[in-house]
Amino acid sequence: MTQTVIFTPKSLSEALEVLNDKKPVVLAGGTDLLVQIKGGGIPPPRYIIAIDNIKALKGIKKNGRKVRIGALTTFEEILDSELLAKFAPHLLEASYEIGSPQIRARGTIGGNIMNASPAGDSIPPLFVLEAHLILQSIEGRRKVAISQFHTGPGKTIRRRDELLIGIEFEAGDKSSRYFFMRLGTRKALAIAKVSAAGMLNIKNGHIGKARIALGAVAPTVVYAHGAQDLLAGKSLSPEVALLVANAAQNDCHPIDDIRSQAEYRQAMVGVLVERGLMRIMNELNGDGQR
Amino acid sequence: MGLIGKSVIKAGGVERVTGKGTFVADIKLPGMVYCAVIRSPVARGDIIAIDDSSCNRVKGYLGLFTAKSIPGNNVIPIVFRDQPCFAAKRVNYHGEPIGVVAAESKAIAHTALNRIKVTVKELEGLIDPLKAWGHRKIKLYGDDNIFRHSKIRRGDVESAFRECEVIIEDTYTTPYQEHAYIEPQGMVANPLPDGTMEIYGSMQCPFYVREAVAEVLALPLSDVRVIQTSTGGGFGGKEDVPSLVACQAALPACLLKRPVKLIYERDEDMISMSKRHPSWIHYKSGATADGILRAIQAEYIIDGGAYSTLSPVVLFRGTVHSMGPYRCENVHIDSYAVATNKVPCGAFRGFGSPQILFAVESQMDRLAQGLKMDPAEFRRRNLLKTGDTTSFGQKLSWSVGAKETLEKVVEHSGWRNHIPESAGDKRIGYGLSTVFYGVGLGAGGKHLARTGARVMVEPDASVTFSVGTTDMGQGMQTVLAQVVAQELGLPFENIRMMPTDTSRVPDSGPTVASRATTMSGNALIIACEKPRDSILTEASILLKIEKHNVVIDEGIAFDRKDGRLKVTIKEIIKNCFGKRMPLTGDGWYNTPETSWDNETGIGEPYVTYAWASNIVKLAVDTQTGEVEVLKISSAHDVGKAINPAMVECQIEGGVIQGLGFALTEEMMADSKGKLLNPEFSTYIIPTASDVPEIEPIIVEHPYPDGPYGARGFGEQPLMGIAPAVANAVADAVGVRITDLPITAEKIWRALRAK
Ligand SMILES: Cc1cc2nc3c(=O)[nH]c(=O)nc-3n(C[C@H](O)[C@H](O)[C@H](O)COP(=O)(O)OP(=O)(O)OC[C@H]3O[C@@H](n4cnc5c(N)ncnc54)[C@H](O)[C@@H]3O)c2cc1C
Repeated sequence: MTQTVIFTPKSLSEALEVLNDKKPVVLAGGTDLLVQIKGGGIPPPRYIIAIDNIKALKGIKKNGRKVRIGALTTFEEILDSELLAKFAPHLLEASYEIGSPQIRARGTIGGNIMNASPAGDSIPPLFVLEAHLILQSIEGRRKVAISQFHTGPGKTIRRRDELLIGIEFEAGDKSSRYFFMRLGTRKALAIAKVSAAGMLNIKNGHIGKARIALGAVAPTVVYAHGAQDLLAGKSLSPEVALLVANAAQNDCHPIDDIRSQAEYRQAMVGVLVERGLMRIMNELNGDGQR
Repeated sequence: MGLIGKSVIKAGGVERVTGKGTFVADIKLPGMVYCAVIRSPVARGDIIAIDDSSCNRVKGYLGLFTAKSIPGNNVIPIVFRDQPCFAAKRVNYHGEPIGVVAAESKAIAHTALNRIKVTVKELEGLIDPLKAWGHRKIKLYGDDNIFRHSKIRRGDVESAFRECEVIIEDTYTTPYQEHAYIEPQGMVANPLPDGTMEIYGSMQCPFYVREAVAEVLALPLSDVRVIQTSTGGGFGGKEDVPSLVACQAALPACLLKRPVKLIYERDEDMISMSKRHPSWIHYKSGATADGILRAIQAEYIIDGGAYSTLSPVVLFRGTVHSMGPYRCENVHIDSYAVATNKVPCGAFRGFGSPQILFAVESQMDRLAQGLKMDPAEFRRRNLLKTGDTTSFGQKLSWSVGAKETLEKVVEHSGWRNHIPESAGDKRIGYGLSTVFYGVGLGAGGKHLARTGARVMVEPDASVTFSVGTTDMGQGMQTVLAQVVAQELGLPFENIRMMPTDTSRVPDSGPTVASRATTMSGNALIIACEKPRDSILTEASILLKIEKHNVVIDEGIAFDRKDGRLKVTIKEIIKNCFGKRMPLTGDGWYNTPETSWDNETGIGEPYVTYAWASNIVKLAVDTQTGEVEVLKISSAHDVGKAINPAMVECQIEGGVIQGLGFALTEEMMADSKGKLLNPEFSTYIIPTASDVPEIEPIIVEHPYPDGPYGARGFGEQPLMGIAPAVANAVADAVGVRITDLPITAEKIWRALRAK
């Protein structure tokens, strides 16, 4: 039988040494990793590094316009964060959809990103924030745009000596509006069949920057480029929402799998994007901002 | 009747919630070894070799046990004798057991399992039951791959259809359903020095397990003792298959002369254990202009899997239920259980009836729609009532509460009061179903329709009782303790049920078919007669009154005429012991006769029937096809609710399991018969968040032969949910889904095609 050695470093520098020496498998909340080991999806690792004692990886902070979420932050902590409720409310919407109370208490945002599932719920919200991932090794730090990080299901550009230490994004302002929507087969403990996140900067009724990201409809989370281009410079109306929703359907390449069918997913991208945009429009009308 | 009809707190309930109780996985015996099951990698093939030579170097490896090691017969006896304990030459389904390895620890057993080399020559298998039926070349069972063909012939369907105003004809399909009991299968086999074998495990039917172990080990029944451990759910999934699990542990235990433990992994359990039969139903029914159900013609096919197991009886029950709870004089039913190269299907809450009732009740709504009649009114006109004769020719002499259940749900649900509520993309719909259920084993298993019980009063007025039926979480233990307490006049707390054990009472048949309360309840009432008589005799002496004037309630005996004259039952029992009066009793209960003519489908298949109606209120999202169930009202004629809270729990649990069957649960197999989603992340059962408001309604039309009028309950709440959901979806958005589960994708597709 293969024996597994588990390292439990207390500090970041200690962890980076171990990563460099042994190239261990990283264990955060374990809600993906342990399932994969038990199910035979990955062979039993020779070395594991459990990072949950490293304080430097926890916490949510704002420094100037930059908001930073530690990689070890759990979804429960995200849901409790006033800072994120203000600057990334759609990330809270996504966090609320994840698993169950037990999973949200253990599962971390870092684990969700590093697991690299196209259905990972925190990823589309981070796409529309144009967040950067901070990766560190003993050789130093690098920042990678989240949209550049995933290369396929379960695949990333992380080197095996690197640790994700945090996620960083620029805080929006009063003109920023967000949404996150998803469909799952049941109300809890359901991996998304389709998801969509959006961020619009709207000033005086005109859309400036627009970002829309789609989950579970391509090998990685993707931007809906066609939809984004259509939105820029327009003002929101039901007609525009429909037009953009149709464009978003052409921005993705879903597949049939055990959870759903390609044709349905493609159509639902349209429904979710339209609903997201309509919700923003109704919020603005409610605020008298239009 | 102090304790009868009282919602006593469930015996063992607190222990379950706080994680206590002795489950089979908790058992540790000195010298215990572990085993793991070797399974077929293909759906059909010939076993060429099983080679464990690479295990011999594994420290702690104790050996390989296969069909060749079996001292007795290589057969799991159920209805027919076609299922082996271990496949010997030919494997017939993916995951079929072909041997076990034993080792000093579970980890070593699994290491050995991975090293065993199994060489199988793959053969073409039959996966689709419609193709397997009468396949010319591949013979899995008999000449035509049919385990059983059942029929009902009554009246003249052809001319009756000519009288109909509306005829609906369609095909319905239903998928596998997984029991999803919280505790996976597991057994411990403990060989004793005297050559006898003890079996501990999670199970519904200890006497089935005893028979199988005795057969495989070539032991007399007297030398096998089976003890049920706390059982974390069954739903039918622990009816026949635990026999297989027990033999897998008992064989190495017998040959190694050491205790053996075997606990299934969840995926292993899902791949290899029984499920609800997938079905294919072609159904045609017609009604006359005045709203009378005139004719039914149906073909009902169930996918039995590789071995017959319980399929013949499942089919029998499905056939009896294929007309629904209605009067209909012209009926022509043909039903078939077909052999395929897939995991054998078996018992599951409702036992062959939920599939066909999905068709029956969908058809009823469609006929009503064709007649432009309210679906409740259409059912009202056709529902069976006391004094009627069923479609299979049985006169219902008493206690038919069908109509009352219907009126109750209509009244409580706000039936079709939906127009103002539909808003945005959401459309509200209401759906109704009315179902019935033959309680007990009936003519399909009447040789087993008996049960034993034993009651022992101790000198301190505590009582133990034993029965041959089991508690698997459904609450039998509590209800039976209420019966014993009531019969003996003692407080509920004084009564303890002994773990069900084949050495305590005679073979009492299985715990299935919602039979435990009625059967063991009746046997216990008989068993209480003798101790009760001693108690009454002694009370009459102490109170100096005549025996028939003694009343006992919750530990006090008093004079019927003068309540002031009292004596405690403790004192009475002490005296009884002093006088060496008998305080132990045995009971034996047989059900009244049942009958069934397999050629005509005419007879009295069950002694009594339970009646139920459900109304589902839901919202359909017209853009996504998603269904949100808002409320379910579910009314059940249970004869008598001995413990109303537990009846309500059964209603809630069954409704939820029925919702899974209706909306999300679907075990899929690939073209080679391999199950694709044997795990709870992809086999989707409802979670707590998915549960709508459930309104349980109890209706009581007493069953004269039942204990206090109780009729037996447990399965019915699941049975009518899927058609009620289908009917509600049709009401909401006008699309009719005929293949379960009713997924968002299917509704969306149907809406788009409209
Ligand atoms: C029952 C259940 C329900 C679930 N439901 C959802 C859901 O609804 N939506 C959803 O998106 N996900 C869901 N998940 C998946 C999982 O919970 C999330 O992806 C979670 O965020 C993973 O975080 P973790 O801390 O548990 O990661 P782990 O399992 O510890 O790690 C996941 C992967 O990331 C790597 N990793 C973790 N942290 C780092 C780091 N700091 N640096 C480098 N590599 C790292 C690990 O090596 C591993 O490969 C569910 C899981 C379960 C078991």
